[in-house]
Amino acid sequence: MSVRATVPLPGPRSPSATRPTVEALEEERDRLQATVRALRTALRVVENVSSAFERERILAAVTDALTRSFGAAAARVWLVGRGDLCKTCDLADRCQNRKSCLHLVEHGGLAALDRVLRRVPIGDFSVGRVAAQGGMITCDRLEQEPGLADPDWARIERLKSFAGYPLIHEGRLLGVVAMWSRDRLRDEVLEALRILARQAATAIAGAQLIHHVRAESEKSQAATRQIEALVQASRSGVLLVDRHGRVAFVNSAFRRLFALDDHELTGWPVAAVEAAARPVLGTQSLQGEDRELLLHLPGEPKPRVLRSYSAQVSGASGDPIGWMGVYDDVTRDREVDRMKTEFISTVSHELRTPLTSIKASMALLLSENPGLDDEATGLLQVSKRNADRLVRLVNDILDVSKIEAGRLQLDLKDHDVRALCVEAVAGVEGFAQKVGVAVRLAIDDGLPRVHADSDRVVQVLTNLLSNALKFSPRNASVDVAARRRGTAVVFAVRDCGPGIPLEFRDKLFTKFAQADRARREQEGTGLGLAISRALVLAHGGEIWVESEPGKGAAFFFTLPLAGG
Amino acid sequence: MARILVIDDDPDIRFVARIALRCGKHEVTVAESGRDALMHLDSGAPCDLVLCDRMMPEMSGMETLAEVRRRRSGVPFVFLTAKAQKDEIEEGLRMGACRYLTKPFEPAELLGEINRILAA
Repeated sequence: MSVRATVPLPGPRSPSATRPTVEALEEERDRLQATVRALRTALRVVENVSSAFERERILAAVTDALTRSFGAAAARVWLVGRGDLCKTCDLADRCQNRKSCLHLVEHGGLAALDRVLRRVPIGDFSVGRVAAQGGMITCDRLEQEPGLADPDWARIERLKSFAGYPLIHEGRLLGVVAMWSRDRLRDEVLEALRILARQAATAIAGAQLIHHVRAESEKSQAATRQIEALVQASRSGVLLVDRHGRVAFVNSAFRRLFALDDHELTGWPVAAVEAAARPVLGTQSLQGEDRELLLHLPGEPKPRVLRSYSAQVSGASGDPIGWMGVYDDVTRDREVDRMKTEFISTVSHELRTPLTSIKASMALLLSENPGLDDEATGLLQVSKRNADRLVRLVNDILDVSKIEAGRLQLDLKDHDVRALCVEAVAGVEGFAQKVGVAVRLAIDDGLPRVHADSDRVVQVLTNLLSNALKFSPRNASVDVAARRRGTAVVFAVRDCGPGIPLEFRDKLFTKFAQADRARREQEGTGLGLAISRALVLAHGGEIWVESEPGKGAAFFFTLPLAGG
Repeated sequence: MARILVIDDDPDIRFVARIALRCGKHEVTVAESGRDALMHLDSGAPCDLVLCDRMMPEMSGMETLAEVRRRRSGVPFVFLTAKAQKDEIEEGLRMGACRYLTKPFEPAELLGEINRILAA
């Protein structure tokens, strides 16, 4: 068996030493005519093969040409494929690879006897070696060839010769085409095999590519259909505009929202859509980053509120290919928000008015009636204290509602840190005296001013101070400190109380979190730290606690410097 | 001693405000509505300070403020109200109220504030 990378076309024979006989010349003429016929056939097949997209048609054309026009007794094509039959394959124990092997996909001419090599390991037998070596292998004495896959078949069918050629496209091995013949394989046949194999490789690669593209396109079409179905089912109106400003897509919610059910819209310029929607849209534009549109729909007394977002849409390469708009009907949300705010405001007002009368009455009775006995005074004090607590609760609930509704308004101005601390300390002086705890101020000199809402900062400080005083033992002290840290001022409120258990620290800044319910004192609403946290965050600051059980707690928060 | 006109639709508030201010030896007249208060002023009664609620039926505190300013521009007008939102306070002061006090109030503090305004 010999390996040839290429086979030269049969050229004119060099003049031999002896004068050719007439018979020899006639023989030569016949041979050349046969070569021309063979090459013509090969070219015709090549043309057919090149225009065929189906893999099966290409391969059938190749084996057909080899058996009918080039004297092959048998012709077969294997293509490289996944190692799929390893569990049952007779050759599995000879196979090194297991990941891929040659799959028999087409055969023409003689059928095999019994051993049909449906799978051939790359590198094994003649066919496998063609694949492994990437070049043509020929053999003119099959009866002497030791490594035949089926020597009986070759003997019974009197097969003399073999030629195999790899199918290679752009350096990639696709498979092997092989032929067996009862005659010696002449050069023109080998050349025809080479041409056929080359063209078949190109055509097979093309067919594989087309198959791949088709599969991908079907997948992507399925994905597109799914996305389209999703967008169609969306309750948000969706509009997609191409880079020429024309509508590429709208969903039914869009048509419904803008009362455009009777219009086709796809392909329309956006200006035309806006013009068609003018009765409900007025002069508002459909494009805009994030804003509200008011729609006056026929038969509806109040305008609808639409939240509209638009964004540029980019293609795979990142270039803008247009823009999309999404439109949500938030009429109900806005109405609910408004009602909620109104409700909170009303409730807090309605609660404050009777509380005002109760509190003021108690205070007046206590201050203006020196004749009251101790028990009566005590009862009045209980009532007044609890009325005060109710007022604090109302205030805290109102604050929490505002924070949760995102309606917290800060009146940001530049403030002196010491003045803020002094104001807060003055506010808790009465309480500090009552519990017998001293409040000490340690404010660094020359601190820059902070940019903050003074009422809210005093509220946070008061809150932290009240907590610190509440948990301090008698005759202890609470320290208020402030110092600069980078572009912020850090405030600290320290006490010498029992400290905060580790497992409670995470919950500390949440609503209604009080560590020790038994210790819970009547002054607290359980909302103070949650509100403080929200207020500090709204200023762009941080709030945290450091505590060692038994050694007190220190609360810290930061506020941005003025002009920062 | 000053003559103070208290305007509030809630009789209990009128009652406690009157007692709280009387503790400062002030002479208190109460009105249950803006219209009532204007009638009092239109009768030519002397008045040194007006203490007025904001949320009242018929005529609001803001409307009352405007009418009072037309009649007695020099008389200090003080709001005493549960409407304590920042923007509400600012609006009240912008419209010509000289002080904005919020409910609930401590009688002693209310008296202190009123005395300070009268002294100014």
